[in-house]
Amino acid sequence: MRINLDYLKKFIEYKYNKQDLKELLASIGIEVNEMIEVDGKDVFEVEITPNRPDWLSHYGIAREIYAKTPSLSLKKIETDRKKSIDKSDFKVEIKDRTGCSRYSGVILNSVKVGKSSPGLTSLIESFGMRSVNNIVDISNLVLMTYGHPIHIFDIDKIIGEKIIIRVAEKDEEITLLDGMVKKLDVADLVIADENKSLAVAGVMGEEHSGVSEKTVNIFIESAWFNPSRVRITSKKMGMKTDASYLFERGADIENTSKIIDLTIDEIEKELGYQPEIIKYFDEYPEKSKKQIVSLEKDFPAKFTGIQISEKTSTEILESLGFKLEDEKTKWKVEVPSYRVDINKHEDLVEEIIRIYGYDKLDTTLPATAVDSVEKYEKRGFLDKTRDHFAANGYSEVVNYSFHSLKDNSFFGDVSRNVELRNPIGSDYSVMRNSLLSGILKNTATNSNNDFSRISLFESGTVFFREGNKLIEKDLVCISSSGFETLPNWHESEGRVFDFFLFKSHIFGFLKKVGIEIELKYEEKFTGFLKKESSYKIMIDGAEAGFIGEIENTVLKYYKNNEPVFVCQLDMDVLTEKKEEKKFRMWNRFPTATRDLSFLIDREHKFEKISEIIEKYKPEDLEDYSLAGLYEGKGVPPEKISIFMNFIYRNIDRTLTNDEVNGLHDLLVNKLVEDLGIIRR
Amino acid sequence: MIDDLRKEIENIKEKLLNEIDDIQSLEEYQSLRDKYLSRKKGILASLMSKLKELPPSEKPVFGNILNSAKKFTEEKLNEFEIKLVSKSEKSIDGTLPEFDTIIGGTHLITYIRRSIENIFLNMGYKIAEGPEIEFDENNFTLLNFKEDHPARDEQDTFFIKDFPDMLLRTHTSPVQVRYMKNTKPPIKIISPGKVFRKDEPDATHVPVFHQIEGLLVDTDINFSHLKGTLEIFLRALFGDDTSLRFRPGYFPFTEPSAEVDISCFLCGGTDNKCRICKGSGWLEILGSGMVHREVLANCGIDPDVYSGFAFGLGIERIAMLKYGVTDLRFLFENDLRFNNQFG
Repeated sequence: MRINLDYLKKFIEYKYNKQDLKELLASIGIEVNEMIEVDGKDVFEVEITPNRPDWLSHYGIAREIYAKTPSLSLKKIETDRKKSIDKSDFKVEIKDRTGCSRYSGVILNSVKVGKSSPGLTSLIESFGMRSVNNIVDISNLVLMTYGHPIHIFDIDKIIGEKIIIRVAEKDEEITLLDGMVKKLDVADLVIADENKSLAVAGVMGEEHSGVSEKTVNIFIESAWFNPSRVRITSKKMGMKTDASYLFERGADIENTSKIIDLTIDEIEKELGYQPEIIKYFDEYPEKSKKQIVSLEKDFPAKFTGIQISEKTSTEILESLGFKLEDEKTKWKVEVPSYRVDINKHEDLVEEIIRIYGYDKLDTTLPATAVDSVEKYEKRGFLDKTRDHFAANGYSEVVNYSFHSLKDNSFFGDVSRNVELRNPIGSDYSVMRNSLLSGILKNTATNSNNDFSRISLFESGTVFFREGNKLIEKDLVCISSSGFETLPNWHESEGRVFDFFLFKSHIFGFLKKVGIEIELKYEEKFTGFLKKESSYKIMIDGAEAGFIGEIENTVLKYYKNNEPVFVCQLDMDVLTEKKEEKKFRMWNRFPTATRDLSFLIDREHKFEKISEIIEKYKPEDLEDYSLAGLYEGKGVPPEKISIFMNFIYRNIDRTLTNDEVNGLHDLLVNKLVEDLGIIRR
Repeated sequence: MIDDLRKEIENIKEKLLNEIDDIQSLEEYQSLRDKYLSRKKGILASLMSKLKELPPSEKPVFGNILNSAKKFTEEKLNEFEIKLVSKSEKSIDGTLPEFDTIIGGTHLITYIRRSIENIFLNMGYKIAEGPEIEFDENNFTLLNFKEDHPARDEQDTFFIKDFPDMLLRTHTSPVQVRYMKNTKPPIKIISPGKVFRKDEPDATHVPVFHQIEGLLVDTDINFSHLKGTLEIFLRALFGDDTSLRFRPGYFPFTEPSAEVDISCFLCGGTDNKCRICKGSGWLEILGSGMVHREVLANCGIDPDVYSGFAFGLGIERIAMLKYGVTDLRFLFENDLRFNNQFG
């Protein structure tokens, strides 16, 4: 809302310069967003919080400045018009009293509609509005001055002798002032004559019954409409007007009749003569109850932490227009009708400290102690995971949690999609079911920017539908593409990621934190992982994620040209399976190493060899490892040559040569029997 | 007899020093070491045979002499070995450039989140988390957003298709609601997390962003406690000489509510063209207030017994203010030229 500082002075003679005024307003909760000049006049663009419709006018702002500085005098708004004039049979009938609880009005004859005076025009323009004609401008002036929307009809366009406030008929149509045709329904409140609707109550008037250059006789409406009814209608019609904005926040029901008088004052002032007053109306079937709040005298101190004297409290509340009645330990506080936001004692304390000054309150610390300690297993593990990969050359990325349908179709079952009802666009229409899409896009972006070492990770939530339930899973996704170590003057070759180097990074981390995992070849990931490297990660029988190389179609879809290796881990499974490490004494006796070189059919995966070794593993076989692979010259094409080391050691004594040979031969024989290996 | 031996040993020592001086290579050094110290054929070992020729009273004396000679010999030879080895090492040019080894890092959002979490963990707060898809009730109704509150408009909130009462949380306050429903005060928590608002991405808006909110509920909690807590927190984050300004504000879930500004750490209000405060000297940093009695009551906490305060701030805003990030979209584009600057 715009405040014209000169005009404001009409209501309160303040002496502040504009910077000080801005600070003063900020200190009581009115934020000045911009200080501008219109036609040489200082104007503030202020932000009014939705709980304070009483601030939506110059007089409302003046009232607050007065409360903060009661030494100034606030102009009293008084009128002394006689309301007994009744020279017409015209009537007002409220048919929906919850929608419209009060309806005031007046009929004025011989109004000369024309161009506004330069003074009025300049004022209206300083409010950021467009001057239309003197009568319309005055309705805007009244709104900006006193904060109550009025509507003016050309009474000669009204058919019959009655204004009816009623709900709209189903599918009733109305052509509004701006030329738009809107369809109404029975939830909408309208102002109508005996023939048709003249206005959507509190939102906008109809095209033909408004004031035009030809208008001579007018009907001025000043009413109170139910805030939520106005809101529902204005929202449904997609029409936000200055009037609806105010009504939906809450207008002052006690002020409607006075507003009529103030409007007549402004019209007489602008026209320079007194139009004939034909008839006053004020339908107010059930007077609204006064809001009374009880305030214990010690509550302000208890709630703010500082002693504010009773005198200060009462002075502040009274300066804000509250009426206090002393009742020993408490005050009975009557709330002014324009303060629709006040209904409990905390509200009153807020009023007191708002004017007293938030900055004058103490800064102390609460003594609250909490008697338990959280372990944050998952958070701690997530942090450890982040730190590990960050320290090992991986960059953390953060992507939006939205996918396109296409994204989700790559990485999961689309029947489990969690769809948004109102997405910002089709690229962001479903909740992500994987972290891969983000990672693959990021990899391509950076590859285009000439990065040749792109190792990323993201920690985030993915979403699934499970029948009538929505499931969230916390995942970490890790990826590598290109170099692990860039070529440099010292090591000219560098080191490029392949599946095994990537796998070693992942397994190395997991082993370090106490998680033993195994890989199982898995078909179900081959929609996005290459058939040759599509593995499920298993921990203690539970599926914990996957690892592999991105399949070519998916790779290209995300505009990548280099291979990308990925691993996605389920943090809940990992956290659950993670074991606290315990000290283990190492073996102090010397080891005995045996090498084994053999040929084996290619169809046997290494896991098969491990399986047999594990199955027949003698107690004294401490460790075994792959030391080399060879294929090519000298090895038949259907076979592969493998070189392994076996380490034997007993926990209590040194093994003799014969003992070790015996154990080793037994094991090798099993490999020969079960896998048909050929020793070399 | 013992005197002769003493003299012989002195000669041996002298000879050793002379011979060390002539040595040029590690091989020569090794044979010299053997010559004196070899257990079988060494000069010093051979002197041991003289021991049995001595009368019993002189045996210990000779033993001592011999041991000290052995020690002397070892020390001299070791000293010389270090010199010899050092001399043979090639010198390097240590000013040759290093090469990048580690270039990764945590994301700026993670970095800021953790620094804020650490401040509150130090102050005895717990961390509470909750789901990103929430019930309308937890996100709005129980937080005193009336049925027709503007923040409920479709334009602000993402709703889930086929689940009419579910939405993407627009703030992390529903975590506080869940916590209050399940925990008897005292309550002292912060809730960090992702939140969602339906905004088209631009320099200052993103549809997904991160918040940290705090909540303390106990008996006798007052507004001065809120001020004291935020002062400690914001000084820890922005520096000890930061000043705070509390302004009345409005949030449906707090009453009274306060907007909190910090003094501009860049110009202190002295620069009219300051990049961040535009000369006002103040930066809007967070929203706060005393928990609305309706909210306490909605969560099963008696507002006549307990009171509390709450506050919330956006991590992305800290990224802009404290770290000078000029466009929020950079935080989500994951260009390594951005991501690798932090963490």
